[in-house]
Amino acid sequence: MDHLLYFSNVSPKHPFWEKIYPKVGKASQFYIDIAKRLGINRFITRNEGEWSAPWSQQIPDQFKMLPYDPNFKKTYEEVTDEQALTIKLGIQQGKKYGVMYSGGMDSTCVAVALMKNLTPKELESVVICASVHSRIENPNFWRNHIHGKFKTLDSNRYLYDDYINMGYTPIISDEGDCIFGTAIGLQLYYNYDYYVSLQHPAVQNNLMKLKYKISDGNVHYSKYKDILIRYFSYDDTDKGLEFGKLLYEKYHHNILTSKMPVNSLHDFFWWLIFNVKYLNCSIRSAIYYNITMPAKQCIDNTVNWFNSPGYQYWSMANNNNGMKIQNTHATYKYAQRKYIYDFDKNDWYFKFKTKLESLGNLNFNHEGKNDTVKRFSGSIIGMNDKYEYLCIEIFHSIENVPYTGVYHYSPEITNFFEESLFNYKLDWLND
Amino acid sequence: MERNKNSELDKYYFSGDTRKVNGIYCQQIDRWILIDCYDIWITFKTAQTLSSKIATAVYILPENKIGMTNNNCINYSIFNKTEMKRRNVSELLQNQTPTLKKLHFRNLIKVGLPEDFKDFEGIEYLQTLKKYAEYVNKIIYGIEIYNARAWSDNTTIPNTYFPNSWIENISTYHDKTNAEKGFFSDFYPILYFSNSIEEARNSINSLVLQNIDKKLISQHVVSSFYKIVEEPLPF
Repeated sequence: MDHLLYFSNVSPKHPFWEKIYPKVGKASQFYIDIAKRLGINRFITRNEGEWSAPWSQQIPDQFKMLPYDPNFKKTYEEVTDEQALTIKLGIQQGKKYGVMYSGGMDSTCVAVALMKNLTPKELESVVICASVHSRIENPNFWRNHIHGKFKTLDSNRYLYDDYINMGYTPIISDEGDCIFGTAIGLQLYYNYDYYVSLQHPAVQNNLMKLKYKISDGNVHYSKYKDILIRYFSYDDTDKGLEFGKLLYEKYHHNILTSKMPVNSLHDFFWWLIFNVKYLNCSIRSAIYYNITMPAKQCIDNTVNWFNSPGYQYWSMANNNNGMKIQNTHATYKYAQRKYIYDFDKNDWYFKFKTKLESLGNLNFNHEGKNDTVKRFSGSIIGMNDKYEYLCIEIFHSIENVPYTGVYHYSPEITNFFEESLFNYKLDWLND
Repeated sequence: MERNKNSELDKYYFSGDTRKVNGIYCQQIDRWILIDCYDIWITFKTAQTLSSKIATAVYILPENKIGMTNNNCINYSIFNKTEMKRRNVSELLQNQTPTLKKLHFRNLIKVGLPEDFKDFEGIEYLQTLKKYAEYVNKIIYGIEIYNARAWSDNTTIPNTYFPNSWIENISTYHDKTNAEKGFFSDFYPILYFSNSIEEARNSINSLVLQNIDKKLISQHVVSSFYKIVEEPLPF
């Protein structure tokens, strides 16, 4: 087994980690600690810049990073409208689509783009898949633009395989944050004063002067190094702080060895999701919210709205010009806010919409399928380049669920993961 | 009823010499938009009603020794928000609907107006937000007081306490209007969906006038309501 396509999804508290953690070296312990601090889905990159992992990894072609084009001039509005036209074309060819509408900014942008660019007749081929939480997050938009105008489906009731089996192609907006920068950065901006207060008094004044320079291309992210290390640390012990330093250095090394200019603090956090976490955002829904369909079939039958070349080029060419963020998290996704505002003229939304973790709005309950999904995702450790799920154990009741995906378990797989961890070394500390 | 000192309810209500206040904190601007000295549950309903427009959190501030008032709260923030987490994300950045929290006054910090709202246009937006929050708050006080004073309500007790079989095929009513939850409760969706004080005020006045014309509600009751909420009478 040479390549993993995707390293996923085992809880950091799983006995597998507990068993192996004391036995492996510093590098592998660090790798497991990433899961503890940032979550379990931040182990992969799009192969841009050097990024070692215990396992070699492959990126599916459609999610590979495109080359940086500093001369790309199209606006956010233009690339969004272009993407809507690809859906228009699909409808003209007989396709039907289901917009996974969480009520958050990304899926609202998708809905706006379709309403703006499709005819009423074409919109009849679009269904809005949403929950009550979707309505709660943006009730005026629901009332003014969706209710009574679209066919809707309850997203608590159906999973992605259900939509595909009903003849709909799901449109997902999971890469929306990748275009604008990770919410992990927003957490730091939101608590900036607090993190400065943890620094040595002699440097606090200087750091406070940088508070509103997060998107200034002339202020390099390394000026925030001490804050970043403290922020990444999983606690304030020496070990926790050492982890923060190793993680900062790993990201820093990845950036230095990439071809993309990464300057400001927000560039830094943008890169952590545009390169490092992108694949997770792209394929997680097809894995988590799908029980009966092989992963590749589900991925291939889903539209990843923000994965279009237009958005990719736009994202790389629009750092530090105010389109992604300005001084604070209040202006996050500025270009997207503006696009939505130009359509519905809602001042409240434009100025006061808070970036929330909206994805969970879609699949809150699954009407009884939830247990299956949890058990299913909790056992996957990766996916190989044949799109087989690799598991470290088979849950006893897996045979009782209507699961037909390629689900692969053998003692050799567990051995493979263990041996890989034993062989992993710290290899990014020479910059 | 006398309660033991340090009872759990002390955390939520006024007791002894401690003067608690309640506040609505707005994550998007990282500032407070309303401080209410009276009823925590009215503050909470105010935040719920505002959730169509802004995500907020409602706090009980046990000892407001820092001098934050409703007039100056737009200049105050919360210093350390890192403790309030679900998974790796601040709890404050997860939900559109408010939840109830407690905060020690030492965690308040005066920092001035939010950076992205310091220009003329931004200040106008902040004023609109704050005034709308205050308007919603005072109307909700009126709604709840008048719902409690409704002597003809034969809906609340049966719907809350009776088995369904007792009231099947029996007509219940809150008042003479057709409003399912009472005439004044129909103001809630108006406040929730309106985009300005003017829009909400016009809709409320219009509803009041329609029902007065049909003699479903008396001018006297309406006048008392308007007096409590300090709004000009529409007739």
